[in-house]
Amino acid sequence: MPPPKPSKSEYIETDTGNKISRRSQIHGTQHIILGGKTVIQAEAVIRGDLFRGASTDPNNPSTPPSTPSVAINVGRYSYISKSAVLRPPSRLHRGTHSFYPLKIGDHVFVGEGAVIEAAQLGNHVHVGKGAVVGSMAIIKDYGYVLDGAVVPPGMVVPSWCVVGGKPARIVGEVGEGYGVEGADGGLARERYRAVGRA
Amino acid sequence: MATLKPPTNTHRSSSSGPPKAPVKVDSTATIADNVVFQGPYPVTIGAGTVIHPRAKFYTYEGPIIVGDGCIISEKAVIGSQPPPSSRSSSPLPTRDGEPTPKESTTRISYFVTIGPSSTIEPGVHIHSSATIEALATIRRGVDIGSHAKVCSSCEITGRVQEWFVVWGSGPGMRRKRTRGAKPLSPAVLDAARIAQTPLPAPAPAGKVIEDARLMVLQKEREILGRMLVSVKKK
Amino acid sequence: MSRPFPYTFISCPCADTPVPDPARKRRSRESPQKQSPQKPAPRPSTSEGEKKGLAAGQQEDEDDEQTFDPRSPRSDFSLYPPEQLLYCEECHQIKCSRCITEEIVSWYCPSCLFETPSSMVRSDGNRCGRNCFNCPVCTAPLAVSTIENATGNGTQQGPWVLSCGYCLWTTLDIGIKFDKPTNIRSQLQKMTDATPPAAFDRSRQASRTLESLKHPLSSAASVEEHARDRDVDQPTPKEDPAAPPMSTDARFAALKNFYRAQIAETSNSPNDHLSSDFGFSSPGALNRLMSLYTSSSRLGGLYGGSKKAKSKPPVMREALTASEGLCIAPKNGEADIIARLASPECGWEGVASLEQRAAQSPDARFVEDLLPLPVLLRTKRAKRCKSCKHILVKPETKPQSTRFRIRLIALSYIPLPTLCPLAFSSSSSLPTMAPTPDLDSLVPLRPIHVLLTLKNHMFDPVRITLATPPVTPGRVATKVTVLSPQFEIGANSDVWDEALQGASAPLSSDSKSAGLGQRGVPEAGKVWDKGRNWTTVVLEVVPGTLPGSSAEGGDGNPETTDEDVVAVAASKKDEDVLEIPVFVHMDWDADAQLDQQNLGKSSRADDKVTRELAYWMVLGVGRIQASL
Repeated sequence: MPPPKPSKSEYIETDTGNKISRRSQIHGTQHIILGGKTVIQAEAVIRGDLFRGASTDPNNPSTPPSTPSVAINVGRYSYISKSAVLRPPSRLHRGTHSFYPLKIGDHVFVGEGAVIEAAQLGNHVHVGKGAVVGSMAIIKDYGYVLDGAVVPPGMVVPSWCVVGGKPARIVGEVGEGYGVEGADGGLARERYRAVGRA
Repeated sequence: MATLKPPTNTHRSSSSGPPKAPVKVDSTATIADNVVFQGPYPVTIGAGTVIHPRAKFYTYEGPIIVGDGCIISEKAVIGSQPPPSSRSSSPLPTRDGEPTPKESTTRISYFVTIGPSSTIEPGVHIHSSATIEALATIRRGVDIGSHAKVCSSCEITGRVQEWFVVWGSGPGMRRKRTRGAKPLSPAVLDAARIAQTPLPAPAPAGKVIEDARLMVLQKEREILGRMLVSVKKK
Repeated sequence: MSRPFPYTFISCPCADTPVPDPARKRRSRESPQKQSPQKPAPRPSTSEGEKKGLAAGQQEDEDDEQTFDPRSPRSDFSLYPPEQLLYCEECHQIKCSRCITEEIVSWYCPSCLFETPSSMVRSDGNRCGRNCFNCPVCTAPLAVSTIENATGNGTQQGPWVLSCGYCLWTTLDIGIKFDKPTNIRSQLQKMTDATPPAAFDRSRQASRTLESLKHPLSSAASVEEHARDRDVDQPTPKEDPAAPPMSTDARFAALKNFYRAQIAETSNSPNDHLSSDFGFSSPGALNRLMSLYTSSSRLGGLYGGSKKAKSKPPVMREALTASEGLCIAPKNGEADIIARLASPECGWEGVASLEQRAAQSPDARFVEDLLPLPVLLRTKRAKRCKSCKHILVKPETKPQSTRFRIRLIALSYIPLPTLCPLAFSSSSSLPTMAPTPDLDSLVPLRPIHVLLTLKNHMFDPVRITLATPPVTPGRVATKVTVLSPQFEIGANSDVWDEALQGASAPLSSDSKSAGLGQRGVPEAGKVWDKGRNWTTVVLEVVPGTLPGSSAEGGDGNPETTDEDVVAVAASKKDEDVLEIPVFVHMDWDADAQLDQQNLGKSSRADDKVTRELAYWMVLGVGRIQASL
C-alpha cells in the first residue's frame, strides 16, 4: 500500500483538462472516453477492460473491431471520488453474455466508495457516498441518489427525483433551482477547479 | 493441474514490505493483474474461477480456499489485514482481547459470486452458489448457506441459512427463496373460482430461476475469462 | 437531506413571524391584497388579507427588533436551501413550497417514463398500465424475464415471469407465470380479478358505471333496482346459498352499491348525486343528515326535505346477504391463521410484514398472498403563487424533458450565497498557510474568518446591506461581526457571456487561495474580493462555549468530564451547531417599463424604479467542539 500522502503532483492533467489521480486504478484505458475536465480520484477503479464485442460467441469469433469499442463514457466536469468503482453492466441477451457501455453524463458526481454498474447516469446526477447503483440501472438527468442507497438492478430514476434506502425508492424531488451554476447540483466546475490545490 | 507459485514469504522484514502469500491456482482459473495476495498462509483457487483486478486476499489469520467457478469482483477484501502494530510481530493477532482461533480457514465454495468492494472476514464459510453483493460485509466466522444471497451494503454477523436472501439495511430482512413449485396465489384461485374460468396452468418450480441464474453466471465467467486474459496479453 | 458544512439556508418570509420589510412602506402601488402574500398566514384565509395588511404596518417597528432564531422550532418550516425557493414577479417576494399551489401537468410512470393520459389515470388506479411492477417483498422494480433463458437456447419464448433483481422474488413464488411478455398488467388482472375479463377492457373501464362494478354472478339485481328505480319498494333480502364468495374488490363494490341504494331510498332529496361516484361525500349526504334531525322544523324545508317532512324518515338497514357484500368471518378463521403462522413451513419469513401488507389487499397476511404491485404514477406539476395566482413554474409536459416553460427560481433574483472558511487567523499575526479550520469541530473562543460570497444573477447591479446580531441567539453565544456590511454587487451580463467564459464564475476556494497571497488581513470596512457579478465579504466569528463545557468562563481548563459532554449533548440536540442568522437587505434600480402601473410613482426620473427586498438567511458554519 502506498502511503496515503497526497503530494502536489497527485493529479495528472490531460490535454482536455481531465485531472486523474496517479493512484487511480484504471483498466482498459483505450475503451474509456473522458469528455474533459473530469476528475478521477485516488483508488477509484474504472473497468474499461470490460467492453462489448470481445468475441461474445466462442463458436463465431467476431471480427476484430476496427475502432475500440467504448466501455465507459464520461462527460465533462464529472467527478469520480475516492475508492469508487465504475464497472460496465453485463447481461445475457439472446444466449450471449456481453457487457454494455456505461454512459456517464456531464456534471456528474460519484461519491466516495460508490459502486456504479449502471447503464446510464444522466447529466447533473449525484450519487452519494457508499451508494450502489445496480446493473443496467438508469438514472436520468438531475437524479439524486442519497448516501448509502442501493439502487436495485434495472431501476429507472426519473429526472429531478431523489432516491434513497435499500432498495432505493423515490423519496422526494430536488428543487427547481437544482443544478443552477453555483447552487447545489451546479457545483461541478468549482469542484473541478478545487482539485489539485493544496 | 495446479500451477504452484513458490512461496515468497521467506522473510517478513519490515524493509521488504508485506509478505506475499503462496498461491495455488488451477490452470483454468483467471486471475487478473493487480490482485493482492498477502500473508503467511496459502491461497487456493479452484478451476474456472475468475478474480477481477484489485481484489485483495489477506491470509494473516489462516488460509483462504476458493472453490471452482467463483467470481470475485474488484476491491473485494477477503481476510483481514493485520493491525499495524502486529504486522511485524505475529501473524495471529488477537482482537479486542478475545483470542482468535489459531488458524481460521476462510472457505468459499463452488459458484460463489462476490461483489465489488465487499468484505469477507477471516473464518467465513460461504457455501456453493451463494451471492455476496457489492459493499456487503460478512463478519468473522459466519456461515453463508448455499444459494443464499446477501444484498448490497448488508452486514452479516450471524448464520445465513441456505436459499435465504438478506436484504434491506443494517442486519437486514430475510426472505426464503422458492425452490419447489408453489401453489397458485390465493387471489388467483379465488378469482378463478368466482369467474368460473379454468385455472392457469401450473408454473414451473422456483428452482428454474436459480438454474437460469447459474447459467448466466457460467456465461459471464466464460467471457470474463477470455477478456481478462486478452487484456493480459496486450 | 442534511447538508455538510458550510451551508446556507434562506428563510422564506412566509414564516408567521412577519419579516421586517421596509420596502413594504414604499411600495405604495401595491394594494393591501398584494401585500398579504408577504405574510401568507398559516391559515390560508383571503378575507384576512386586508386586516393583515393594516396590521403589518403597526407591527413593523416591533419586527425590526426581532432577530431570526434558526433554532426556533418554527424556523424549520421557513428555512430552505436556496435552490428550492421560487420568486413571484408579481408579489416581488420569495416563495417557498408553502406559498404555492400545484397543478398537475402530466402523469407518467417513473419506471417506463411513458405519459399516462389523464383520462386513464383513474381507471388504472394511478398505476402504470403496462409492464412496470414493483416487488411486493422489497419494492424494487420487477423485470419481465423468460424462463427459457434457463436452458440457454435464447429463443425468447415463454413462459415469462416477473422477477426482482434485488431480493430474487419471482412470480413463481406465488405460482404465476405469463404466456406473453406484453400487457402483463392485464394478464395479471385477468388472473386475479374476479370481475369478468371484459371489465378490464380499457375503454369500458374508463367509463365504468354501476353495472360494471356490480358483480355478474352475485344475483344482486336488487342493487341495480335500488340504484335505478328508487321508488320501488325495498325487496326482501333473499339468501342465496349458491352465491360464491367474492373477492375483496367485488365485495367492496357490492357494499358500495348497496349503501348507495340505501341512501337513495332514505334520502329526502332524491335528486342528489346518487349516480356519481361520490355519493357519500356529496351535498346530498349532508341534506340527508340535516333532514334526519330537522324533519319538522323549517330547516327541513330549507334543505329541500319538505316533501317528506312530516313522515318518519325511513331507516337504513345493513347488508344482509353475500350478494350485498356481506362477508361472514369464517368459523375457524383466526385459529386457522394461527395454526398456519405456527407451522414450520411458514415461520417468521412466511408472514408478510406490515409494510408489505400496507400496499396489498386487506386479506393478504402471508408472503404467499402478496401480488406484484403496478408502479405508482408520478406527476409533473406546475406551481402558482398562492396569493396572485401567477405561474411560477411550468415544466414541459413530456416526462423525459427536463426543461421548463416557466421557471422563476429565487436564485435568478436574490444573490446566491456561498460560504467558505478562511484559514485560521490569530489576532496578532497575518493569516498563514494554516489549514482551514475543521468545521466539524470548531474551537470555542478562537476567532475564525469565513468568506461569504454573494453572486448576483440579475442584470442590474445590487446594493446589499448585511446585518447580524452581535451574538447568535440561543445558549451558545457566538460573536459575529460582518467586516463590511454594505457593498455592491455588479450586474450579471448576458447568459451567453457567462457560458462562453465559463471559468469566470466566482470561486470561493479560488479567491481563498488567491486571496491569501495578495490580500493579507481581513480589514473592517473593506470587501474581501470582488468580481463581475459577485462580491465576497469576511465574517469574523468567535465561536461561543457550550454550556457545561470546560471552556465556559474562559479559563481553558481542559479537564472536561465525559458527563459534561454527554450532558451538553443531551441538553439540546445540535446546540453545538453554529448557525448565524444574517439579515439581507438588497435594493436595486429596475427598469420601470416592466411595471406599467408604477410609472407615475417612480422615484426616479430616468425610467428606473428602486426595488427592495429583504430576507433572513442562515449560515451553517460548523459544529463547535465541547472542550478547548
